[in-house]
Amino acid sequence: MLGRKRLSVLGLLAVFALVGAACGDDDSGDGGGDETTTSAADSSETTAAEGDAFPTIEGVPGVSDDEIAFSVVGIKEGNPLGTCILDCYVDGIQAFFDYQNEQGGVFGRDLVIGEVLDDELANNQARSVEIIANDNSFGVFQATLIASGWGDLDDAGIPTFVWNIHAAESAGREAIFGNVASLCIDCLGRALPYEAQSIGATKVAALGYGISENSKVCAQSSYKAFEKYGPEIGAEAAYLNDQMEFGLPGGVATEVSAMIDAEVDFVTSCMDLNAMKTLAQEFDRQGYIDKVTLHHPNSYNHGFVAENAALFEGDFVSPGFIPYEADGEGTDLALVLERFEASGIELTEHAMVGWINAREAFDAISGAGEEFDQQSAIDALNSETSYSAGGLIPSIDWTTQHEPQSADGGGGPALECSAAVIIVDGVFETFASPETPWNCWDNSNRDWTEPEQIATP
Amino acid sequence: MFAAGVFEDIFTAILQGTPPGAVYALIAVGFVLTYKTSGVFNLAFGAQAYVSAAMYFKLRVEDEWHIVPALVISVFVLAPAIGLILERFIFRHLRTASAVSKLVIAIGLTVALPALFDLISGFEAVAGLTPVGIIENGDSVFYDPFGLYAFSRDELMQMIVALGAVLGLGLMFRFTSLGLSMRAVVESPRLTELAGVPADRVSAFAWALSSTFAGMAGVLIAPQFNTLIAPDFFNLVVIAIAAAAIGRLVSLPWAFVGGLGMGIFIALFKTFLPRWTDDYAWLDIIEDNLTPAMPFVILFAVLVFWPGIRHAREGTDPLAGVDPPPPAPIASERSAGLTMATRVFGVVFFSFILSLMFFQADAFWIFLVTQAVIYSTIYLSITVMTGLAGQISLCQGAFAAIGGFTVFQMFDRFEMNVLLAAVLGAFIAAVVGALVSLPVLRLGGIWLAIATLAFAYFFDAVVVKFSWVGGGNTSLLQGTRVPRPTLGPFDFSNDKTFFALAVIVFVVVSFFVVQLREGTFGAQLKALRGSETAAESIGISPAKSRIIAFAVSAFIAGLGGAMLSIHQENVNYATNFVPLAALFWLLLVVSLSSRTVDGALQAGAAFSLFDPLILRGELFAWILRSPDRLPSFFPISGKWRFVLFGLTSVQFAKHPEGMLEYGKRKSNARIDAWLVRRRGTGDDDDPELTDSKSDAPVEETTS
Repeated sequence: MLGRKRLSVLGLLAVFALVGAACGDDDSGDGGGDETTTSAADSSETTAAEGDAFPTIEGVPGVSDDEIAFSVVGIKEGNPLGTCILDCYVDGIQAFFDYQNEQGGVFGRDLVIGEVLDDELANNQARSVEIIANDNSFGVFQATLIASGWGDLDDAGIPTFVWNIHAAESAGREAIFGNVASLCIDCLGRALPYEAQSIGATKVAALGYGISENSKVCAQSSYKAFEKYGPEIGAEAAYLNDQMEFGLPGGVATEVSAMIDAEVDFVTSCMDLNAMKTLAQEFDRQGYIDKVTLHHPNSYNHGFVAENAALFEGDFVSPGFIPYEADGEGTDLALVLERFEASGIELTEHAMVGWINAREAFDAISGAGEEFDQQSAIDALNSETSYSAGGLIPSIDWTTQHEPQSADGGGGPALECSAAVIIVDGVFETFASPETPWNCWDNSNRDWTEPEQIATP
Repeated sequence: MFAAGVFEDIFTAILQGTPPGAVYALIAVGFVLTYKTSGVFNLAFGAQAYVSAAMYFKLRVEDEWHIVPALVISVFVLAPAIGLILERFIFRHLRTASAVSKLVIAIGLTVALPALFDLISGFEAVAGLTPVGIIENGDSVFYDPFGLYAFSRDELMQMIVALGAVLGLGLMFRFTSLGLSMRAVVESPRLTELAGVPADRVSAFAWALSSTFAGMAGVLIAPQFNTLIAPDFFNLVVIAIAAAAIGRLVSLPWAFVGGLGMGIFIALFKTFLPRWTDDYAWLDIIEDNLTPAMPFVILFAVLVFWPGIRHAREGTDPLAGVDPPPPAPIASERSAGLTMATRVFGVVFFSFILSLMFFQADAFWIFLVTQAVIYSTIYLSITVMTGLAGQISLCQGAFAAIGGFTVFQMFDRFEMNVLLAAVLGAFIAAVVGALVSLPVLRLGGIWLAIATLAFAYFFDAVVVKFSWVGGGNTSLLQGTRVPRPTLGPFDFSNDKTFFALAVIVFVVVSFFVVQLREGTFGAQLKALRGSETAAESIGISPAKSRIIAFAVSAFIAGLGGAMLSIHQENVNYATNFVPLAALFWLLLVVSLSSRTVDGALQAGAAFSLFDPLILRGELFAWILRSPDRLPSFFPISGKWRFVLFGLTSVQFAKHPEGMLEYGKRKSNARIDAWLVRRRGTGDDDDPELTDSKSDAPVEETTS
C-alpha cells in the first residue's frame, strides 16, 4: 500500500499540475477568418479514397500494411483524485479510431491501440522508456498526473498526444501535442474578470495551494488579473490565499471567515474538485453559500456536480474544450456525441480529451502523406497554424505554441478564449450562448474589452 | 494591532479550531491507547483506521447498508479481528523486541494493510462519492451554540467520542484490574504471568480494544475527506503524534488536550497572522513559508523542546542501553573455501549481468538496471544510518532531493558540470544532515525517527518551494531538467556509458561504506549500539559519532539523489523523493539486509525490477518463452509489492540483520556442514558449523 500511499501522495503533488493547468489562460490560436474546420468525416473520405493502393511502409514502428498501432499510458491505480482518467481516455480514443476505421482508416490502414499501460502514478518514465524500447508503436497517447516520461518520448522522436496539464513537461517539446497548447500559468486572463462582471461581483478572492508552485502562481495570476481589470468591471481584488494546505485536512473555516469578513462574493480557485466541495461546504456552514459564486478549475464532472447541486448552484467551470452542452455547429461535437452514445461512453472530460488526441494523431498522419513516418507526422502537425481538432478546441498555432506564451501575452495566440459553463440545478449550461460558446478577446490589445462570442475560434 | 471585536475573533477561531482539534485528539488518544496497551509506537494506526473507514464506506455508500450493520461490521467485527490477528501472529512474539524494531514493523503494516484491504475488497476511491458519518445528515445539519460558528453533527460526534474515550479509558486504566493488567503486560509479561494474569489473553484484548478504537476513529474522521485514500490517514497520524507526544505517549488527558490545542493554535495562527503581517512585514516570511507546514513544525518543536520527550528514552525503552551488539556479517565468518567460492560466483554473476547489459539489453532494461544501481547507492545511506549506527532516519528522501536539486540549480544558474554539481550536492546534503542531527541527537530510537519524519515533511512543505531549491517559476515553466554529463572523452548521454558510471559510483561508495564499517568509526558505532554508557566510558563521544553518521549518510543519499536526477534527466521530486518514498526505502533495506552492501544492492534491484520482472510477468514470460503464454492474471496489481515488502518487514524484529543476511547465515551453515560430512570429519561441536547457530535469534549469535 505504501506504493499506493507513496504514489498517491506523490500524485497529490502532481494534482497541483492539473490545478495549475486548469487555471492557465485558455488562450487560443489566431481564430483567423481563413481557418477551415474540417470534420472527421470529410478528412476520412479523403484519406480512405484510394483503398489498398497505398505503398508499403517499412521501418516505421507500429506500422504494417493493415494497421497503425499506438500505445496509451495513463493513470488508473493509485489515482488520488478518484476520477476516471485512463479508462475514459481510452474510450475516447477508441471511439474516434472506430469511427475513422469505419471510414477506411488512414492510407488504407486501421488505427489501433496496441497496448494500454497503467503508470500507477509514479512509473510514467519507465512506461515511456518501455514503449521506446519495444519499438512497436507509431505514436503514444498519455493522460497522466506525473508526466516524467514525456521528455524521453520527445527525445526519441515519437509523436505523443497528451492530456496537457503539465506546462513544464510539454514546454519546448516539438513532438508533444496536447489537447491544449503549451500552458501559460502566469498570464493575466480576462475570462475570470468577465465571469465576475457577469454576476455583478464586487469583491474577489483567489485561492491556491502553497505546496504547489503551479497552484500558487495560478492563484497569484488570478488575483493580479483582478487588480488589473477590476477597476474596469467594478470588482476589487480583496483576498488572496496562496498558502492553502493540500486536501484541506484542517478545514477552511478560518479562510472562509476571512473571505466573509472581506465581503467576497466571487472566489476563483486553483484547487482540485474535492477541495472545491470542502470550500463550498464551509461557505454553506457559515451561511454564506448563497452570497458567493465559485469558479472551479477542474470540476467538469457531470456526476460530481449533480451530486452536489445545491452547493455549486450558479458556479462556473472551465473545460478546456467546447462543452458537451454547446450546439457545436460547424464542429465535430455532434459526431462525438453520436459516437459516444452509440458506444455507451459517458460524457467525461477525459473521453473528450481522448477523442481530441486521437484526432490529432489522425491529422498528423494524414498531413504527412501516404509515405509517412514518425518525423513527417510530427512535422505535418507542426506546420498547422490554426489547428482545432475538428473545432473542438480553440485553434492552436503549432508552429509557435509549443512554447508558453509570456505573461504579458507576448508570443502567444491571437485570441484568448474560454468556454465556461455554469452549474444550474446540478447540470451544466454554457455561459455564453450554446451557439457561440466561446468568449474570446483579442490578444494584440490586452486592455479590457467585452468579449466576442464565437462558435469555433 | 488589536481591532475592535478581537476577543470575538479569538473565540471564533477557538471554535473553528475545535473540529480539526477534535480529529487530532481522537487520533492522539487512540495512539496513546495503543502504546499503553501494547507498547507499540503504532504508526499503522492510520492504516487500521483507513481499513475500517473504507469498509464502512463500501457497505454504507456503495452497497447502501443501514448505518448500524455497516458500523457493526466495519468497527466492531473487522477492526478487532485485525487487532487480534496482529497480536496473535506478530506482536505476541515481539513483547521484548526493541521499540525501534516494533516501529519498523508498524511502518511495514502501514504499507501493507491498506493495500491488502484494497486488493481483497476491490475498493477504490471514486470522485464524487463522499464518505458519510455515523449519523444521518451528519455533514449538512449544523448546531450553533454560541452564534459564532456552527458545528456539524459529524463534528459533534467526533468531539463526544474523543472526550468519552478519554474519560472511559482513563477510568478503565485507573480503576479496573483489566486496565492495570494491560499496562503490566506491556511492562513485563513474565512477571504478570507469574502473578497469575494470562498475559496472552490480556494482550489480545488490548489489541482488539485499540484496533476497535482505531476503526471507530477512522469511521468518524472519514467525512473530513472528500475521497477516501490511505495517505490522508497517515498524514493525520503524523500530525497527531505531536499531541500524543505531549503526554509522552502515556497520558490520555494530555493527548486529548494536545490535540485540541493544536487545532485551536493553528486556527488562531491562521486568523491573526495575516492581519499582523499588514503591520509587521517581517512576518510575511513566516506566513508565506510556514503556514502549510505548521503541523510539522509543531511536531518537530514538541520533539525537540518538550521536556517529557527529551527524557523519554529511558522511560520507554529501559533495555535500550543493554542490547547486545549485532553479530558480524556472515561474510566475515564463513570459511576461506566458501568465501572464495562466493567471490568466484559473484564475479561470474556480475560479469554475466554486465555483459547482458552491454550486449543484449534494450533501452528499457538499461534504464531499469541503471536505476536499480543508483537506488542501491542511495540505500547505502540507510546501511550507514540504520545498519551501522542503529538509528532510524525517515528523511533520507530529503537528503537525496538536496543532491538532485543542487545539480539542477548549479546547471541552471551556472552551467556547472553536473558531475561536479553532484559532488557539491552530496556535500551540501552532508552539512544539512549534520545540522538536522544536532537538535535531535539526544532523542534516539523512535523519537529520532519521528523527528526525521517531521523534517522530511517540513522539507516537502516549505524548503522545496524556495526558488533556490525547487526552482520556483523556472521549474514551473521548464521543469527541473538536468542534462547528462560529459567528462573528457566520455559522453554519458549514452545510456550504456552512464550505466557504467552508475556502477563505478556504487562500487566506490560501497568500498567506502565497507571501510567505514571495518574501521575505527564502525567500531565506535558498534560500541554505541551495545552500550552508550560503556562506550562513553572509553572515550567515545555519542554526539560526535552520530553527527558524523548523519552527515555521511546524508552525503551518500545526496550523491545518489544527484545521480538519479542525472539518470532521469530531471529531478522529478514528486516521483522520487517525497517523505513517504523514504519510508518504503527503509522497509526494503531493513527487510533484506541493512548492514551489508549486497543488502542495499538487492533492495535497489527489488525497488526497480520487482515490478517488471514479477508483477508484470517478464520473468515468467521468459521462462515460458513467450509473453502469450502468461496466465491471464498478469499483470498483477502493483499493490502486491507493498503487501509483500510490508509484511516481510515483520521479520525485522526476529532477524534485525535482514532476511537476506539471515538466509545467508543459514545457507552458510548448511553448506559447511555438508562439506564436513562429505569429508567425513564432521564435528558437531564446531560452533561455526552447527545449524543451531543459524536458527538462533540474532541476539544470541554474538560473535
